Amino acid sequence: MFWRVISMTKRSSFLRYGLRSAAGLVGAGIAAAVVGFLCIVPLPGFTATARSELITPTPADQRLICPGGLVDVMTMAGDATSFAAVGVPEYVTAAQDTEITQTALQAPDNAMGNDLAAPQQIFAPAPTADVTPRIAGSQSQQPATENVAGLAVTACVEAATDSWLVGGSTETGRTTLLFLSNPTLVAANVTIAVLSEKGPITGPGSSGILVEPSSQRIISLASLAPNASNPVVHVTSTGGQVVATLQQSVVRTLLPDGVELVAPGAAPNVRLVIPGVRLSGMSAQHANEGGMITSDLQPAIRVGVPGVKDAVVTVTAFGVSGDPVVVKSKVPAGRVVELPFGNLEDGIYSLVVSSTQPVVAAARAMNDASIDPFATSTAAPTPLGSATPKPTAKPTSQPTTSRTPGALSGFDGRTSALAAFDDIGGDAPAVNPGGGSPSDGGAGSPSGSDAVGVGGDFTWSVATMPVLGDTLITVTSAPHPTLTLFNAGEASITVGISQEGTSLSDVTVPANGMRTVPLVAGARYVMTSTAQLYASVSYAAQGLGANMPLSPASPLGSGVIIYPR
Amino acid sequence: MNPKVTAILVARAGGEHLSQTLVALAAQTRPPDAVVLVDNGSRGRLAISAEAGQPDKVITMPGVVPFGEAVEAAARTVALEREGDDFLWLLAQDSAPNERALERLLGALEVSPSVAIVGPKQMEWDRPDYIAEYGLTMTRRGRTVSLVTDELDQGQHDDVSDVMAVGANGLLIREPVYRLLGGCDPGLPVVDDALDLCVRARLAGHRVTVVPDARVLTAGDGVIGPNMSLKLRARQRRARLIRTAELYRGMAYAPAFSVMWLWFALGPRSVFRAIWLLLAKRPYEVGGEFRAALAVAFSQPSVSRSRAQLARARTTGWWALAPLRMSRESMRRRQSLERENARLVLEGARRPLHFLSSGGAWTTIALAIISVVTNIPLLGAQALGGGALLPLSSSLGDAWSQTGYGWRSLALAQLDPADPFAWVMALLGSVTWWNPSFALVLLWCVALPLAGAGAWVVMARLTDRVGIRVFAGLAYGLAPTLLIALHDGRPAAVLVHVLLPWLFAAGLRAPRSWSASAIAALLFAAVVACAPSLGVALLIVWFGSVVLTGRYVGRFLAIPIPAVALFAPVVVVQLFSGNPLGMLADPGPVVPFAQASRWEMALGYPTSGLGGWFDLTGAINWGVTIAAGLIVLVLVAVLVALAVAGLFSAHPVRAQLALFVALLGLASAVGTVGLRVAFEGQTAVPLWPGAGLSLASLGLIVAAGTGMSVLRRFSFYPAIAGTLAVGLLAVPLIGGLVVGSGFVHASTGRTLPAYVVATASRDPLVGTLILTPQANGGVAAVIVRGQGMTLDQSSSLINTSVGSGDGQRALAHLAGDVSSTGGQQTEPALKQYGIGYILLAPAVGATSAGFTSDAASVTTRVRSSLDANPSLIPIGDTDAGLLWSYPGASTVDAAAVNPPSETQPWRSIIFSVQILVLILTMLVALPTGPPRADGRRVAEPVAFDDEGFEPVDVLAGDLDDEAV
Repeated sequence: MFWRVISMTKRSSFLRYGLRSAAGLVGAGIAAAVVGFLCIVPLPGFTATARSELITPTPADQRLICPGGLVDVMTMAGDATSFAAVGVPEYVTAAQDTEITQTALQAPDNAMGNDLAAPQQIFAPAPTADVTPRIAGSQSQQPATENVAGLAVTACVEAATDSWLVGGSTETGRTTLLFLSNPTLVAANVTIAVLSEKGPITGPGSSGILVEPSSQRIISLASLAPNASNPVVHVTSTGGQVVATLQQSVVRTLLPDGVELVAPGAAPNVRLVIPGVRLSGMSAQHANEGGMITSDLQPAIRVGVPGVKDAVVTVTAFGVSGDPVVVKSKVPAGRVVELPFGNLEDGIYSLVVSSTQPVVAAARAMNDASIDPFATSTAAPTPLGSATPKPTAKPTSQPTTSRTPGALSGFDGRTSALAAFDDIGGDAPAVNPGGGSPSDGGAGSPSGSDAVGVGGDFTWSVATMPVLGDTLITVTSAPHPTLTLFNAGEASITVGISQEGTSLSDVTVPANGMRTVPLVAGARYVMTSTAQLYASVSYAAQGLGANMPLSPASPLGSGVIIYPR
Repeated sequence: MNPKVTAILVARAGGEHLSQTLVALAAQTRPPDAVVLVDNGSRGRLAISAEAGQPDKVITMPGVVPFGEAVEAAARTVALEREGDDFLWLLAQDSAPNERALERLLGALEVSPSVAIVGPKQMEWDRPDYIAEYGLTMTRRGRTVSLVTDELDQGQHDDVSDVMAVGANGLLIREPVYRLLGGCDPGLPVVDDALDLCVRARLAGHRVTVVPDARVLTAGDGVIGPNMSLKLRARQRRARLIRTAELYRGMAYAPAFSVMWLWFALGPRSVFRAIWLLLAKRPYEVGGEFRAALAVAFSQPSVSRSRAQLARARTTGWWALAPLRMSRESMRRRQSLERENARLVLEGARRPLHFLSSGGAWTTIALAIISVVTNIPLLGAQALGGGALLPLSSSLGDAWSQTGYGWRSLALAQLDPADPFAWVMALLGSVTWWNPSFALVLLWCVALPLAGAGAWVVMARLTDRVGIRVFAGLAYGLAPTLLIALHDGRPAAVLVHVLLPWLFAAGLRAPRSWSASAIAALLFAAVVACAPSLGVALLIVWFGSVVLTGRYVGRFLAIPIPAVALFAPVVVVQLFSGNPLGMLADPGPVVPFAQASRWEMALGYPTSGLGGWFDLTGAINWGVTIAAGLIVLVLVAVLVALAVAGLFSAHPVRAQLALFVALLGLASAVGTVGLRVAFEGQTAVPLWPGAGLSLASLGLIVAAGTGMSVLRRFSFYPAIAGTLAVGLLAVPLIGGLVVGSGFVHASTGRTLPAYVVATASRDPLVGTLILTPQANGGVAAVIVRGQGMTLDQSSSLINTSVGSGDGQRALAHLAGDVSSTGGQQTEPALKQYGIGYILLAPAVGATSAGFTSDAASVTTRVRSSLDANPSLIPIGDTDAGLLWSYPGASTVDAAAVNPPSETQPWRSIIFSVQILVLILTMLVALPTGPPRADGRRVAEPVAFDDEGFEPVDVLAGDLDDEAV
């Protein structure tokens, strides 16, 4: 054939092989070039954008639950344990663009029949107009009985299916009670999971706890997790939703040494913010600084790891001035550890907890009976209140001075205005809209007339979710209310604060920084923020302390992005 | 008596044929007394030729008229001038008679007065010793049959004299008879004009004979009878004209009472004959069949005229013609002879594959064993789940009803055409009609051997070397892209990989057979239906074949037709919705995957991880990336080196083409993976690049096989090297399949909780709203009806749609409302849309690192809202997620959302057109019908060109051994 014919001579054979090789080389070269091109050169792509709709749900009824009065354990005949309220708390509510009604839930576990000692439901019906109304409420109580004494302030919150409570202790002398309030119309089936310093605690009776509609149950945490010094309680419910609150009270050598209501905190996350931790008596703590928390007399940060991997936790404490202080530690999976604060001066701090694994956290501050947090401070808050505090703003620890809800829910403008901005190290201008004398709000000493010997108090500050837009702040008559604002963002935020529609002043919170604003007891404010901000209101006096987180309105009513097909 | 002969010569163009004819006319031993030249439409351009022949009269027709009319015009002038016993001799420009033709013809007429018409022996112009035509007859059913065609004239037919009819070429007729019969029938302008004339002459009591010594050449210029060109268009026209004439004569000859019935039967007859034509592999005649029926149906006045004319001259009955008709036996004998001849031509080109003796069976068995081992984890499965696998519809009727057009799943109320993939799924499900989902289990089991056998067949068409064939089969059967598709649960990609070699095998045979062409068309449609993104590359390959094929182009041109018919509705909808890239989206559910980087794709892996080599080297604690990359690179390099070796062979064309296909496949894979047009919730998921890589591996394997064949007898060794390389490459993937590390698992055949399925078995329209929390805190919302999503229900139109219509907004509002408090407001919508269940599926990435706190919080939110909704009843945690039911939903409401009536008329139209195209293609694909030589001359095999280069027909047969 072809090549037989022409391969007669060496030359033509050479030529033939040459041509063939050249063709092969060219072919291989082109192939290599194409593969190289496809591997290296960026080719144009196309990414379509999924169809999405931001759905702002039809506004629904709003319902906040205040957990009700503090209780004491009444050991009855037989095995059953029952509880009785030690008094009636003061409720302060506020509403914007709506009218609210306040009713009491059933409280079968609470032996005291007073409606105001039962959990309070603050209800605003679904609006007819297209305005999203806001409601807010808080409760405050300062009992002084032989078992329960101290200051407990907490916010009224929405019911949820999933709550994390960081606080409490079931060691000897510590009483921790779990309030489960179900405001919904269906029964809630509640499961309680407890983490502790020894790991997850599984015990009988922790699941299938039935909470009837519109009622409250009280469960002693000791029955689920005895002898746990650092419990973290995870409450989940199916069916109806519940508001879970912990009441922790401490008795040291027969003397009551504080009481606290612990509100639900932020869900496990790798980054948490605990705003408004007021530390006092730190110099005494430094003396026995050992790097370990050995007793619940020490201020501490309680960190729990619900996951299955160990977490490396970094706690950064931001003060209003000075450099942040960092504490770093490893927390084993499934356990709860209390971390020390380190060398911090007295003052208000915001803590940022970052972790390699999702964690829950809260901070415990001590309010020693012998230390007046405002006595020595040069920067003692001097709110320049316009009006003298009304009687409604008085401490209401006496069980006899209960108020009708109607009187509390009004917003009649007779409460004192925001008085001044205490801007330690900051530069926000002081505003004095009314000009008047300082108001101490009647804070200071517990006013239980039949006061037994009183020890100190302790304060749990929980991790909060950021607030945005308008937030209503209700201040109870507890002493020295102080608003703490923490900005975790990278840009400074200007926050507007108004009272009864009167704009008071703007506060600029620097990036990654904190500001505090003293408030007037018994007042109601509207805080407006254009960016996400962490906030809480703390109260303090000699031997007293409380912290109330400010939470965003329930996400259930906010807009949600839907990707329909 | 001295009869006068007038030669009537009809010409359309001057030139060689005409001048030869004129010369031959002039050289007659008995010259015609007059020559009338009819200039039929050349508009005077015949002048010079005509002068040369010195005709007695030239008649110029105003335009091109039928032969019969031209003769009639000439005969009329003759009649004006002469009287008496004259003869008319009909000739055309290409009818050169031999010297004594007229003398013999005249002699035949003169000796027997009963004979009115005589015809000469018509010889082929190019081969004057071959008979082109020598007398005509009809079958019992009226079909025209030429008594002799294409035979060497050895005097074997010279004893024939009486025939039913003769062709018009060189026909000599007595002028009075011509007058009596009224000339040729204008209703038969091209074909059968002379036959009809002769038949009428016979009915008038005359005889028709052939004269063996009179010969007339004929070139088939188309002046008399149709143009005899071999071009497809001419063949089609000829077939149409023959059929028209047949039908026309049928009506003209029929008894009066049956004319009406014949007329009504025209339609049904043409339908049946069209089907027969498809089975007979003559699809190009189908159009003409219907045109012929239409033409005859609308020429009834002409038929009446013909019947009147026939009746006028008729003196005897049809019985007189009966002995002259072709008997059934001789007809059968002729057909079997023809078939024999045609087969000889076709069989000459067919290469037996020797599947059993040449390694095909062993390749398939080896792959089947591997397949059995890899499918151990799926043992006993009745359905598959995981990845992009969903069950099929539970009954065959449901599966077929998903095709065409209708209400689509996932969207609230959306009418759209179905994906072509629905046809594939319906066909696949029909294989296991008792449980359609089981077909997927079967597919998983036979994928390896079927793909390997396909590649073996492709290679067997190209080479005789057993080693190379086996290498191709094993290498393609163990290609990473197939194993990964099996591993990840990608049924469409598996189908593409399995069907692709069969498509190429059929394509390689397409130039030789309509059957192969139709099979290729069906496979093309199936492959493109499974991977629309591969359509671009396949169309390029197809276009290249069309360009390279040359004269068999018709059989290639038709290949994309079924695919076009299946895709047209989807393409139209996508174009009108302004989302043209959406038509490339993969069929089936949208499932994200770990996208491979470019270099990994160049090594043949559609997903990252180098097909398990990363994990394997990681487990042995080697430097993961480097070691894995190096191993794979070296193994792939073996194939690449072999492929490149093919480029240096003596005949590099095949290697070049194969490499081109491989690069095209790679380019297709790299290009498609950049397109993110289908959505899973908020995420736009890239197209699956595996289909392109299947094409790339097929091309690379064929190229490597070509490279091996360079070594001729020693090609065994590189074949072993290549087989070892692909075998080693596949080890981690096969291991992964064996231990069941893939996403595929045996499933129960349902995608919704059993609770819903139980309800749906009573109420097949019950809706389930499925909410899936997204990583960014959004919620994806889809609605399925009945027992849940199936593979055949999935629609790329729904998966890719971007615009927001009323349905989407309504669905978004419903989903937003149930995900928020204030559930009372959701009840009317749930009732209106007939939604009985709400399923909160696990959040995107709930089990992996992609889980975000946003997803967690939105999950909590949706769950809380649904829990708090008093109109919903919580059912609890199921295998598919958390379930709530809405007891207020009713079947009536659900039926009102997607009323079946609204799908019409499009559902019927699209379904009928698509099923028609598919059935017709299938009819052509069936290996039936007599092989035909397509009117080509059969006898001489083309002489083999010993000296020349190989033929450029690169798609034809094996070449590597011929050069030895």
